[in-house]
Amino acid sequence: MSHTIRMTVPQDLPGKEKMMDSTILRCVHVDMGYGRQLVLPDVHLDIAPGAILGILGPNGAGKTTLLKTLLGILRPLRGAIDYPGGRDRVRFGYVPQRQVVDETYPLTVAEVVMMGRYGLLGVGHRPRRTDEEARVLALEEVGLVHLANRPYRELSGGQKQRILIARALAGDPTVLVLDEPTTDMDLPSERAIMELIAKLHTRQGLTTLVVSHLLHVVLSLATTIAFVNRTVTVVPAAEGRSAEYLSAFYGVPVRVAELGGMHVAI
Amino acid sequence: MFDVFRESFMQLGLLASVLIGMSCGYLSVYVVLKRLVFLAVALAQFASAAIAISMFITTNPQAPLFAAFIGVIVGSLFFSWPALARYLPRENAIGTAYALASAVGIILMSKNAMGEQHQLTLLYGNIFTVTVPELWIMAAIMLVVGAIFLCFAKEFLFTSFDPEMAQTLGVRTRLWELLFNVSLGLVIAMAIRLGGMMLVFALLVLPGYAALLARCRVRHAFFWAMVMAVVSGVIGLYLSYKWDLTSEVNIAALGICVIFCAVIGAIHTRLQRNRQPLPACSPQLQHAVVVKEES
Repeated sequence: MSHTIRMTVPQDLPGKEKMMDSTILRCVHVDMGYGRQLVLPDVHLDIAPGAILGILGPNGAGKTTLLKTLLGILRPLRGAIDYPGGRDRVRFGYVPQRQVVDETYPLTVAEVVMMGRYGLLGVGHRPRRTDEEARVLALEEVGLVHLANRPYRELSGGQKQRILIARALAGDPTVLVLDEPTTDMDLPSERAIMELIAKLHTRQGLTTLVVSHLLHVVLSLATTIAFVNRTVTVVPAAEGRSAEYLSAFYGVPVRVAELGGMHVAI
Repeated sequence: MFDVFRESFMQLGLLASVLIGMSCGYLSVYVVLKRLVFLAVALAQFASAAIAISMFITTNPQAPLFAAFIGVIVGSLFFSWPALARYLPRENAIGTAYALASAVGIILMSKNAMGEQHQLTLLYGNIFTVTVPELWIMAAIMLVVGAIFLCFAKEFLFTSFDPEMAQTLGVRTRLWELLFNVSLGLVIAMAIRLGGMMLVFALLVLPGYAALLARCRVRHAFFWAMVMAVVSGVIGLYLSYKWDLTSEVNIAALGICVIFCAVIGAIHTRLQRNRQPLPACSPQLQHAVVVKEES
């Protein structure tokens, strides 16, 4: 198994339609928050097709608010999110934190992954053969097709995370969104998930959003970084990885090193 | 055993038990999975309070049932209101509404000129006094709710399992939650009228809990919960007649017995699984073990 995470951004997007505009999602003067509580004022953000946008920030900084607003779970308090290529051409594949997925449900892996297709099925329609094929393909993509009939709740943390990624992939997304994909994982599992994300990005050309409070995850994967701390500042990854920038953002001295293809911040 | 069911009131009671068992048994899986036990109790109390209000206002015999439906629909709308959870946990609102509905029911009942026993029967039902029109209404509700849950099974399961993911795929989670709460409320209102609050509450929790404890898969859990609820209802009815006991208590007690059986079954299955021999190790590892033992 390779231990180098390749971060090349493909110029071509295999398997996905190219966007006419260089931006698939744009926020201009958007206020984000819950109810009447303003969390992120005046957000400006452009997401380019094929990019990996890492969203970094301390706890309580507004990362989840930003993510939920981009996904349409929360409505913007002011302004609107613009989709220059058309809303229909942006299909999200959301991978929530695996801890928030309810494990009391006695669902099999196959049933969980099939849920990723429900958005395409339409109300009241049952899965067809093409949906079954998409489910198998998604499980093959994450290398867990042999677990299809196992109960989801009996899997390990790393396997659950892969299954949630497979569920997102089953919906044939144009944008893959991962919320804290490696939290509470041991080192090999974390590494495997990061490699999977990088592989999916390279192979499918998926635009990817990764939210994490773990610096090394975002610094190693992202091509662009959004620093969130009650404001959103978007910088190219090369600038965001610099010790000076990170030290200024977190307010503590930070050192960055590159080890085996990964960027580690101390 | 079947001689008991030759009596016409027992036949009606049997039909009522089957209808209540099937509808409450099915919904019990969701009630347990979605952690709606407290909501179910609160909706039942809303129905009771609405009945008490209707009986205080009018003596029309049809009014209590109509009021119960209004009560649960108002309760369902209230508990599905998105703004409810914005400031405080929803459990607080459910608890407060439950206490208020209970208080209203008790006060109005104590001030009503009609006999307390008559009111208690109207409020809490008696499965031995079920009438044919009531059975028809229950059957109609069960058919409608059953059809809704059959047609939209995937939507209900998806929005309860992962509502955020569902929202990102354009599924209207609040609409499905409202539909679920109203369906649950309708079943509760009618089932309480037929079988009483204790019976309905027992059948809305215990079968689903037992099926999930037995580690059934989700589709099987719905089936087995319905089977357990119907069997508990029918046997409970039979024993109530034989031993001259309250049917609600009997059915609830049987439900608890079913849970014990499910727990024992689950423990037995787990022990069996743990006793299974470990998979055979690879020839290289076997060789290594032999070499080590020899040395």
